[in-house]
Amino acid sequence: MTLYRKITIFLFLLLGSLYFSSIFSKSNNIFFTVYIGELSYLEPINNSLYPYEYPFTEKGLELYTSYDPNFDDPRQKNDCAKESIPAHLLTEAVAKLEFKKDGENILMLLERDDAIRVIHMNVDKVNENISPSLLGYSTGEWRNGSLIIKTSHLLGGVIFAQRSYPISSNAIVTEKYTPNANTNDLKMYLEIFDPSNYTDIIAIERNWAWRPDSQIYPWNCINLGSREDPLDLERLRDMLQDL
Amino acid sequence: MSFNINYLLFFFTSIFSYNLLAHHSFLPLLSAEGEPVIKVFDANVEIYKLLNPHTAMIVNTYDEGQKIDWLVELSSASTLTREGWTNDFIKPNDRVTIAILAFRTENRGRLRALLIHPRTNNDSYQLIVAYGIRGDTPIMKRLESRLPLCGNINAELERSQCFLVNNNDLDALKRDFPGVMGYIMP
Repeated sequence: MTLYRKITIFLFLLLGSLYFSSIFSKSNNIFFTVYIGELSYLEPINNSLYPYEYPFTEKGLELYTSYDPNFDDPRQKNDCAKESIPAHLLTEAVAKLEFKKDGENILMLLERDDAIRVIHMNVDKVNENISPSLLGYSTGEWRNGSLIIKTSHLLGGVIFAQRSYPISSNAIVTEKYTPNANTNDLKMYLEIFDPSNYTDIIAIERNWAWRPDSQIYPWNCINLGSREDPLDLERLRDMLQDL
Repeated sequence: MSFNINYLLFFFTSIFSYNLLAHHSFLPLLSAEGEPVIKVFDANVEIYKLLNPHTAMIVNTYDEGQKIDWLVELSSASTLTREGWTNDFIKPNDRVTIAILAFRTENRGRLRALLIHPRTNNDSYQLIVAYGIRGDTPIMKRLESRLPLCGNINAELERSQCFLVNNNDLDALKRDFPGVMGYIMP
């Protein structure tokens, strides 16, 4: 091979890699913005003709039947009780998030509760001594243009707010966010692996609309008071008038 | 308990089952038959605040001269502003006819529909429909086929909606759907 030919091939490869890295960088920058979840009542993916049936284990079914969201949901007593993962991502109405770069990590800012998830990138092994929390511990990686987030160390509770489907503290939640090349919207594919409550994976999809002109507003939560106790309207009136 | 003003007690039909309602964050007042209860009355708006996670309204009504106040809850400010609601969408001192899905806690409920009476002689009524009606429901379709929109709500989201109602339209609605706010009842 002549020197001239070697130089040509080298330049071709160099320009090609620069081109693809610029595309990746562009799409990567587009990714880091605000998204609004489609307003819908989410159910797991159902490939059968029949209504979806949750594959409960015996324990899962017991927890499901014993949980009454009208009484057991902490928001019945306190509107400002914090939301958990994956419920944050599956709530019917309030669903706004923003991806931000934070050094080598990624932040997911959620409007509800002013919650911030840290997605730890480039983590080979998760420390088992991490304390469980509502948002859990999340690691992430890019795979074929999609962001994959894996979350463990959750507190456990229910999958959806105000519904009875349990999730254990040992569950692993995996999210895959794939941008649409034309609209930049994100398709979220979420899997819950929770063998103590379900004999199979629970898979849910949701679309998040790309809204670079939007922003995450402060949540400024106001507790209107427990729905189980008599209403203290005078206190509430004073509080609302002071806002 | 009875009001001498427009006060009625309605029950949800099977169209709106308890199961569906149980997915939302309130404890509905149930009738002897186990059905959630809707209360309808005339009132004045005292306070309306867009808040997270529940927008709040305090309305005043009267029973034989005695003032009775209600806390009416709506969706979050985050959601309602996305739908097009603003801080002056409903104003203090607005005269309203209101339908509330009552909670078990006394004098507290969730907004189903609100008829804002004309603020000036040149205004129409504004009918705002929310919880239990929003979306692709028969009541919403019924209203959409008869009434013009206020134009300030994002219809694409298929959630709450605001309709303009002139006197003729209101008379026709009352005639075709008897009962106080019969036109927004299941």
